[in-house]
Order: sequence, then structure tokens, then C-alpha cells
Amino acid sequence: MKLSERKMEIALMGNPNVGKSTLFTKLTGVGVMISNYPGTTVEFKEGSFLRGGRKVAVHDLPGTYSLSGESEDEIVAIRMLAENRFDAVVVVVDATRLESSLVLLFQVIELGYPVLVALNQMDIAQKRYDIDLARLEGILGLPVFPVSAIVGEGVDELAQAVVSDRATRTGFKVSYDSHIEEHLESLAEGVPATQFPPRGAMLKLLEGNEYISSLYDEGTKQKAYLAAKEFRADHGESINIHITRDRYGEAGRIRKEAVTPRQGPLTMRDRISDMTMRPATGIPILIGVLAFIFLAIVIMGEWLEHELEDLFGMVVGDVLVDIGRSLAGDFGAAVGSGVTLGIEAIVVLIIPFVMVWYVILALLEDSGYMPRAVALLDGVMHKVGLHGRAVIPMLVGIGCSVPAILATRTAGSKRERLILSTLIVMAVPCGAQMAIIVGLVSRFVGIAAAAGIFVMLLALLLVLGFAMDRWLRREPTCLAMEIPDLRTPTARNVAFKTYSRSRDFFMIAFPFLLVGSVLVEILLSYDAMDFIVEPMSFITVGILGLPAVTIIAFVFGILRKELAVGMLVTISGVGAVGRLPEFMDPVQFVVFGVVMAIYMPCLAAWAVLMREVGVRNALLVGAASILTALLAGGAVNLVLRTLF
Amino acid sequence: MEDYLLAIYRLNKEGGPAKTNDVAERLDISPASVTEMVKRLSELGLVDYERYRGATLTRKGYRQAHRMERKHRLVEKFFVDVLKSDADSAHTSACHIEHGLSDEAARQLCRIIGSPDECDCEELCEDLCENRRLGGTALSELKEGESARISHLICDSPEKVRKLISMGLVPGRSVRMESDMPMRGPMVLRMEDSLVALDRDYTRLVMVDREE
Repeated sequence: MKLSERKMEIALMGNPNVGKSTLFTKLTGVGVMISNYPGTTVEFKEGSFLRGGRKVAVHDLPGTYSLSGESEDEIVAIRMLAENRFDAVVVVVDATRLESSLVLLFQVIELGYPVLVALNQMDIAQKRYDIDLARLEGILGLPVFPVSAIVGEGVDELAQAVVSDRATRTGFKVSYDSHIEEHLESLAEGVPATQFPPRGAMLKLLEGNEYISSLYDEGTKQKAYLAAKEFRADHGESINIHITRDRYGEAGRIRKEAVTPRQGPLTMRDRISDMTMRPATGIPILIGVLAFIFLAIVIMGEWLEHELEDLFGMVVGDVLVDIGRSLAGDFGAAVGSGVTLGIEAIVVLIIPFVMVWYVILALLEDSGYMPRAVALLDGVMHKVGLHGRAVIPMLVGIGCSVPAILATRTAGSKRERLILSTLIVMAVPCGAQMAIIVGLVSRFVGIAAAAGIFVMLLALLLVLGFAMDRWLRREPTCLAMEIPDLRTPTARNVAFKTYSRSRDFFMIAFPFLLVGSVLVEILLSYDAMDFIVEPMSFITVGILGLPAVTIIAFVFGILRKELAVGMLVTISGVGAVGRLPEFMDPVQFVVFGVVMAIYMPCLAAWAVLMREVGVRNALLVGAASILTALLAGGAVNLVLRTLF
Repeated sequence: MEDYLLAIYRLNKEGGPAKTNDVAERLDISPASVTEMVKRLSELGLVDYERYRGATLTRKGYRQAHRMERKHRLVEKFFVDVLKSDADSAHTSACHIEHGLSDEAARQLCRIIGSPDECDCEELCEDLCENRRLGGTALSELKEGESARISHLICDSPEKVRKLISMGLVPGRSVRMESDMPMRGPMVLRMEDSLVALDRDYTRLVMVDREE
């Protein structure tokens, strides 16, 4: 095999939020594998690309600010660096925020890796600064490639540089405090050789990095420990603070030399960005954004629902019923109509609301607004025992609870995860629940009724969170987060995100729905469901004031919430979603919506919940949700019946 | 003598100059001895004494007493937390030990006790371990629009300090306080080009010098 055909292994490194993932996707395209690093919740991605006859495996390491090995992310990043002999490390540097990126770059250089610099966000940076690339390359002694990952500019050149072995081991050095340099020199003397250069490794030892320390003998470790201690006694400042301080100093100098800011008036973007961050303007903007989201879902969703309903009737119509009849007579026809209704429920109710939401979610993520909302809401969230960051899993939960519960992993402590998962399951309506609230309640009763249910859920969220915060042992939570610049989302990215999220949603939903529809038809045609209808009527009719057969919809709602709507149409016998008002009156719609929104997570969500917070807690959450749903539904029924 | 200094320090803190009779009462000594001692303290430049008004600590006296007070509390804390003594006996022991405790020993003691959340010890740790300048400002005290340069970090929890370092809050850098989020939410800070939202639990650990 010729050398040039040898497979390459490269790593992508960078601070969080520098656009590393976008660059990764642009480099490798499809076929990405997401894995968890063994024994951690830290995820990393692997993909590959082929260029100039060479296959390049790309490892996307977790985003970190440093390599001192403090957080789980950093530990994983260091181990992955150490365990794979990478042919090149591409350090993704944010051109608009050079300093913190350079600090990470210095550490990669110090560990002796061949490095390529991808200077990302160039499109935005160029509007604000003149960046002297040649100067930057000269100072760092590294090839620097301007890239704009989000629009795909410069990615080709970068890929070409990777396969042409342009990655360089530079002689660039950060000059540290003279005392630190002395310690480094005396430590590095006669130290046993490892894969890391002595100076870089000794720096890590002084910083107290456990992983790299473990590669050295006790004597060296002890010497480093004493040196750090001595430094602290002399300077009254711990050595790792001082090392980082020197790195930032160096980064600041480089920035000053290579970057000239363009003196210009504040751009519109800067002004908007500023407004989103000040409480006086930020809170009204936040409320406006939330109101816009609500209206967009209701108006767009309802419009789409209407269009799709007509389309569905035209395209599918009675085809499945006829097929069923020709195969198995009346029974086949019944199954056929069950399946038709099931599909209709998904197409007409779920697609509009879930997809509209996913578009909005992608817009929120890509615009950089999300972290601003997180910062604004952090204070309130503390009152319910959470971080501002918990807003993100909650928003994801409006689409589907399953990825939302998984996303609670970022919340940190066990306690927070339990509170957050419970709130997501009980008080955050998922796409299907949203469809019930908007598609049934808003459509047949009015937008005010739907808004009322949302307000109720919000109140439930606050009360529940507050109660859990009191009830569970306190653990302080504190936010430390970088806020990215605002940017205009690209249509392509939004479409891609919406597509992949919706696809995942349907992959899970459709099989369930089909099997469920067939099952219920079979049960109904043998009157097998009757045995629960009567005994449970004290709940459905007695407490909730609903038709007794709705219990079937509730039971199937436990399998999947989408099934509930289909079941409702089936058991009501009205034949189409549009004719449901013949079966239930407005108050009953509202009660049905309330109960559905709160009670029992669907099977998939519950399974994930069990895995993430434990069987006992999942059971408790399930029981609490049923109880709360019945209480809330009963109360709403009582109040509305007295009023109207 | 140090007992007198401490008594005056505490009375000053409670409000205004320390009257001879109050000092006497506190130390269970005759007012005449107090007057004599206050005169000596005044000669040493540790207190300002005005007849009929009472004694007030000078800056030098204040610093000395402040340090004593902190040592006292540190020893008290050591007795209660580590030796499990009751509060009363801890106080009595502290009164005896505080005079003999060297700064170095106090620092060691501080390390042994660790860095608990209560501000008693934290304040002391700052003072002893980090050579904290008197009158430093915490980042959390900045007002919107104010700029400052980070002077040092407080050794509260190592984990938080590391997080701060990794986010770029290192001594020497300039920070501008952009906005203060409602309901005791985070502060939004600008450092060069990056915006960072930081909880108060972090910002109170960052000591700064105001700029401009």
C-alpha cells in the first residue's frame, strides 16, 4: 500500500459553540456515528470522508475551554487525544472570539500534536475586523484556514489541507511567568519519555491534570506537587490560575497583533443583541417570542391541519376500507377503517403541530436566541429548583418527551434531572398532546380555551417545580454559560433539522399507530373493550363528565398519545375528526384536553424515564400524573359546568 | 492588651466610639484600668481617644483587631467543626488561643477546615491565603455598564474556581458588566468579544478593581 493511501485519523477540537459540529457535518456528510465515551454521558461523533484517494476518519471531540481535565468533557477530550494517535488535530477557532479559542489551541500545541487551525465564523468576523491571516500564521507557525462552516465556505480547502499533510508541529511557545518556566525546566530534566513532549506534560502536571500525571512516576509527581505548592506560597495565587492567566495574556497579545477592529457604528444586529440581554427590553421580547410561537403553532398548525384533512380525504379516502373488505369481509373493512383513521390522526393532527414546532425550535437554536432566554429565565427557574438551562429540554419536550428526557443529562445533578423530567412529562405538552389541545380544543371550542389549558399547564409547572424544590434536598445550581452572537438561521439548516427530527418522530410513531389501530378494531369488533368501559365509568362519567367509552382513548393514550385521537374518532363512531363535535360538547373537549395533557407519559417516554431516573421514581411520576390529571380534569369539569 | 483592642473593635462595630464603662463591663475590669490601657493604646497609635466620647480604632488598630477577630472565629470554628466542642467552650478556648496563633498557623488551620460556604471562614481564608487587599470589590457588586479588571479569585470551592478559569475569568482581564438578570438571575458580562452569563455564586468569587 502506498503511503498516500494510508487511512488518516484526525480529531476536531474547539470551545463549545464555535461551530465545531457544523464543520464536522460539512466535512463528513452523512453516516455519522454518535457514541458515548465508555462510562460517561459525554457524547462524541465519528464520521469519515474520502479525498485524493485517502480515507480520513474524523473524531469530533467534546467541546471544551481547556484541557486541564476538570470536567467530564475535558477528561474525555484528553483521553481521546492520548489514546488515538491522531495524524492531525484540527483546532476550530472562533474568529469572533479569538482569545478563548487560542487558549485551547495553546494547550493542543503544548501536547505536541500536529495542528491545523480552522478559523471559523469568518463571514461574521470579516464584518467587524480586519484579520491578518499571514500575521496569525507567522506568530503561531501553523497553517490557518479561514472557514465559514455554516455556509460551507473554506471547508474544501481545509479538507484538502488535511489530506496533503499540512498539519504542523509548531515551535510556538507561550512564555509563562519566569518562576513557572524555571519549574518547568527543572521538572522536565531527566523525566521519563512518554508520548507527550516534556514541557507540555510538565505543565499539565503543574496544573494537576490527573490523567497525564498518571503517566509519570511518583517522584516526578511529588516534585510537581511541591513546585505548585512553592509557587502558591510565593505568589499567593495558585499555579493553575497563573498558567491560565499567562495563556490569556498571550492570546490577548496575538489578538492585538493580528486583528484590527473596524470602527463602525453599532450594527442593527448588535443593537438587537443588546436589547435581548437587558431585562427592561429583554423580558418584553421574550414574552413576544413566546406569544409568537403560540400563535404560529395555532394558526399555522390549524391551517395545515385543514389543508391536510382535505388532501387526505382525496388521496386515501376509502381505499383501505375497500381493500380490507375484499380481503376479509366486514371485519376487514372495520380494520381498514381503523387503520385509515389512525393514519389520518397522525397526518392531520400530528404533522402540522409537530413539524411547525420543529421549524420553530430549529430557528430558536440557530439564531442564538436560546441562551439569551436561558439567561433571562435563570432567576425564575431557580425558584423551581432548576437552572435556566432547563429551558432547553423543556422546549425540546414540546416536540417529544423522549429526546427531552435524554436532554436532561445536561442538567447536572440527579435532583435536577428528576425535577426536570417530571415537569417535562407532566406539564410540558408533547407534540401529540399539543395536537389535542390545539387541533381539537382550539378548533372545536376556541383559541381562548386552548390558551386557558396552556396557562393551566404553566401554573402546574410552577407549582410542581416549587413543591419539588421544597421537597427534595437542596443542591445549589449555578449557571455559567457563554452567550453566542445572534445570527440569521439558514433555510437549509432549519430544513435539515426539522427533517431529521420529524423522521425520528414518525419512525417511532407509525408502527405503534398501525398496530394499535388494528388491535383496537379487533377488540371493538368482538366487544372486548366493554369490560373496562362500564367499571371505569365512575371516573370518565362520574368525575370527568365524559362519555364512558373515552376510557378506551385514555388506555391507548398510554401506548402513544397520538393513538388517543384516532381512538376517539373510532369509538365515537362519527367517522372523521371533523365530525367529533357530534360526539362531545365544548366542555367535554376542554376536560379531555386537560386530562390528556397531564396524565401518564406514553410508553416510550416512560421507558426512558425509568432508565434515567429509576423505576421507583418513574412509578411515582406515573401515579402522580394520573392523580393530577383526574383532579385537574374533575375540577375543570366542575367549574365549567357551574359557569356555563 | 489585645483583649482591649478586640472589645473596642466589637463596640465600634455595634455603633460609635467605645465608652470606657462599656469596655470595662465587657471585660469585667474596673473602669480605671480601662482608661489607663486605652491611653497606652492611643500612644501606640492604635486608637483615637476622646474624653467623654470614647475610643475609636485607628486604621492600624482596626486592621490588627480585624485580624484577631478573624483568628478568633477561625479557632472557634475549628473547635466546633473538628473537635466537636460546644459553642461556649469553643469561645473561651478561642479567647486564649487567638493571641498565640501565628499567621502561618492560622493559614494551616484554614486549610484543614477546608473552605466551607459560611462566609466567616471564607472571609478569613481570603484575607490570610490570598493576601486580599482591604476594600476589594467582588464582581457581583458591579453596576450595569461598569468595567473592572480582575484582581484575583477567592479560594472558595476549587471546582468553581476551575470553571471560572476555564471560562476565561482570570486575573488581569477586563470585564464589563452588561446586564443584571431579574430575580437574582445571572449577570451578563463582556470580556473582549465574548458574552458570558454567570450566576452570583460565581461572580462573588471574582475580585475586581473598578476601571475608569
